[in-house]
Amino acid sequence: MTDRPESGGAGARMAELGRRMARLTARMASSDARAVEIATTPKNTIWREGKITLARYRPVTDPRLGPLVIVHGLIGRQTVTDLEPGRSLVERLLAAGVDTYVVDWGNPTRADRFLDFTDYADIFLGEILAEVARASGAARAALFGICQGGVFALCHAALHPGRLKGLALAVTPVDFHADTADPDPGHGHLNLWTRNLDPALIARMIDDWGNLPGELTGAVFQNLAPARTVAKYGADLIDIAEDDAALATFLRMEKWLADRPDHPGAAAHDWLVGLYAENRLVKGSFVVGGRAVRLGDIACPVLNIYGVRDHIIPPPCSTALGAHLRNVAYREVAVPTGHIGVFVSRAAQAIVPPAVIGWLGGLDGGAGSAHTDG
Amino acid sequence: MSDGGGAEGDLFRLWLEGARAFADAGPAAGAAWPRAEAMHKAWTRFAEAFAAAHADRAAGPGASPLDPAGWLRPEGQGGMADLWRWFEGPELADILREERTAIRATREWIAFSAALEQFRAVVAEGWMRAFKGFVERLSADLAAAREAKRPDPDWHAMTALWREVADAEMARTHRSAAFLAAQRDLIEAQIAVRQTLRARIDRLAGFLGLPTRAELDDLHETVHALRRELRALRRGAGSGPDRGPEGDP
Repeated sequence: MTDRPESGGAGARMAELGRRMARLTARMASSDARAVEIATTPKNTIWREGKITLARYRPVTDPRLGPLVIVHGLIGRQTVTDLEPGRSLVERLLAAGVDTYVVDWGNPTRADRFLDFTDYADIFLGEILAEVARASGAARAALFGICQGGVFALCHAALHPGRLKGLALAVTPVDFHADTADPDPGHGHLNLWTRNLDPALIARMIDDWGNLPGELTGAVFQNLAPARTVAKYGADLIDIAEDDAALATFLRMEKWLADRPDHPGAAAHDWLVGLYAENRLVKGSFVVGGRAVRLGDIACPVLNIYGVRDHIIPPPCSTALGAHLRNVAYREVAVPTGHIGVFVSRAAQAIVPPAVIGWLGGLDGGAGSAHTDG
Repeated sequence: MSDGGGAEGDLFRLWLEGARAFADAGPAAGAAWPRAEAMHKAWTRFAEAFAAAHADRAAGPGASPLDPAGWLRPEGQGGMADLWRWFEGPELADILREERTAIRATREWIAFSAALEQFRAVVAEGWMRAFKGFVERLSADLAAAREAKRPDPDWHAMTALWREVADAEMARTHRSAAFLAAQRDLIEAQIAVRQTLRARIDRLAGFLGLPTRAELDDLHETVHALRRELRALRRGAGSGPDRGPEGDP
């Protein structure tokens, strides 16, 4: 961040503003969109099923922890875990010797409209874990689910209690109605808006769209904090106009945000009706693969990371998990950021990677006692 | 000209006379003009009588068939409400099918436009409150700075203030009953428009022999079910690439 004059006349301030805007204009005009790269940590694709791929990151030191499989949801992309050097969970995991894998759900099209939670949370994750077992030689892996990917991972862990070594979650909703316990009026609008709609209307909307377009979900997110969205392209951008590194990070974040795949319709029905509207996961009536998901059946240690200022997944929606687990080691890590900040903020770099690495290190040593960090 | 039957009777008689005159056309063509003049007067009388009758039945906004306020009120009396009800009544097999569909689509589009405007109005009111709150806060901050002989807030502080005030106000707006109702109505209206439009496009596609969306969905659903069955069979065989990890049944 560059210096700002603390005092001075209006003329001086206007001159500074003009200088920054000129600099910003020149910088943006000279930027090549293709040169803005994210998720550049080297990896090899080891499995492919239609549009879905599983990649294994190339180790930078002898693997001593893991295997760990990163699973993002269908809203947004897994690339957020590897935004740029210095803001990359993946980079830190590899440096610590974690055998790391990442799932890319690809770009669903109309042909994928009927893929639902059974496909993603049960079938595909089962196949992916089998492939990881083959590639790593380890009988069991740990899953690291992010947001909706965390719900996939939770469902899988509950349906197959013996399959996982551990379950790490980040910004993952569990109790979709617990937003009412969040005192911040800026949090939980997605929850409120979805509850405001009759489930039959949501079902008609999804049926009408087929898949939920990425543009639609992007527009909804933009409107959660509209002034912040607008300020991002105004005051915030001017603020970093003379900081090349900050501007590069900004452009990488924009690239990540712009990459919003369409969400398969059947999975969207499970997500919006079964979970957001009817809150079936904590009621034990969310059915995946023909069986009800019972969170109490999870039998591996659980690490739950959440953003204290997360307005998309309010903290109480995530922390509700602890009350539904039985006899497993459970640890919470509170990160003083918002939803995406858990991965890309400076503050999070000092909290999240060490927490995941420390937790992985403890898995082979047996279950620890339940406690809360942060 | 009129000897009973009211304005409608006049019209019917004139129509009959006109039809006869057309059939007897030729030497008597000169009689066409007086008949046309009489027809015009009868139409005028009919329109006045129609408007007067409906004004008696339902006073207030939307009562007149020419008042747009009544176009979306099927629950009302008279005006377009009668027309909407007629088009929503029993469907006839051989006549007016396309017309009914077109009129329904028009009505749904009008309803969608109204819902969109209502949604925009609720959001715009939120922004107006945010702006008012920002001006009040900024005025207070400026006054306090001058009182304390401090410099005025710079643009950075002002934009931070705007963001804080506006996001707080929009959060209140987004939680308001008016916003929630407008959002719900907008989604319902949008779905109605899209479904009717799609049905019309599907009919056209069917007419041209092109696959409809419903047919493609059927195909995709079938492929999805078959792939699942294939996976289950491979898992059952225990040798496929998608068997579970070790230790899992």
